[in-house]
Amino acid sequence: VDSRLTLLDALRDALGLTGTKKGCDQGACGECTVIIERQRVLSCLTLAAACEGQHVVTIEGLAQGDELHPMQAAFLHCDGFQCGYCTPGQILSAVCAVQEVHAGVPSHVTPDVRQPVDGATLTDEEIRERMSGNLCRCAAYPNIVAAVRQVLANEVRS
Amino acid sequence: MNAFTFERLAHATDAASALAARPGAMFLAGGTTVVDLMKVDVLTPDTVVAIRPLGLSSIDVSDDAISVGAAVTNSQVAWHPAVRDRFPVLAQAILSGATTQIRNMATVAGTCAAPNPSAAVIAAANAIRLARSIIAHLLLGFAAARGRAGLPRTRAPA
Repeated sequence: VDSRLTLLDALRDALGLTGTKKGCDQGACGECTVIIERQRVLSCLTLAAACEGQHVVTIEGLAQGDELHPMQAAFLHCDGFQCGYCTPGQILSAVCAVQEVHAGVPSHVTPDVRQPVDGATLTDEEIRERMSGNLCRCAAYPNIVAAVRQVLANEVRS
Repeated sequence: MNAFTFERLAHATDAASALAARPGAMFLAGGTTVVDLMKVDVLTPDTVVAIRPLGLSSIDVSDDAISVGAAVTNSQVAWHPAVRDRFPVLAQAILSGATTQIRNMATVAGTCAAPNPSAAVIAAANAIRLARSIIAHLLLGFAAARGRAGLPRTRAPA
């Protein structure tokens, strides 16, 4: 590949995987979020050449065949989007946010970083902070928080 | 973006030699600053030497110091159990900036070096000797300065 090619452009233009969206293209909006080696990152600031041998998940790879990922289903159920442009990035980011909560890692609003967080008692402020890397110009934020909360609640129960 | 050669080397000494051999060469770790500034031609390296394949990914915590490999991300440090337990202000300082996606990409070493025009030199030192406790001290100083100045915490709207 051309050394200048970002992962975002490689996905969209070279591979035809247009589910990953280009928003600001400068690392501020989160639209281009993908999961590399189990971590949510920005594909617009990632060089494709730097991804050699790495495991990359885009929105196209989240569902199991016709069965939606629980986070995709939750976004549908909670009406967590309006125009939908930010949704692939929101969903991938939310999937990782839930995994991070299950891992007990703190966020900026965690009262005591020395204590592991608990998904069952996680506040909306925590969810908003953990999702703050994904902007939504339609301002579907309340329903996005509800979708993340729903997945957290289901997974804590099960 | 200017054309450049992407160098993926396996050993830190080779990477340091590659950098030293080309005055226009730069290290690339997370890319959140370097790729961003290359896109707008503020940085125009002719060679980019990747940090991440060098395997400098250790975090060693002792009583009074933390040693962080040049490829270690901000999230890895902020979420590290021993860092949270013994240097909570360091975890808090990291979590107070940017977003999870950015913190999953950006390295602690790169974050300290980025605003400095001799970033390559500092990154080189990190690549070879690993970033020593000065990394922690820089961030601690940053957090303390913000606290003294009464600056608001950095938050993206969500």
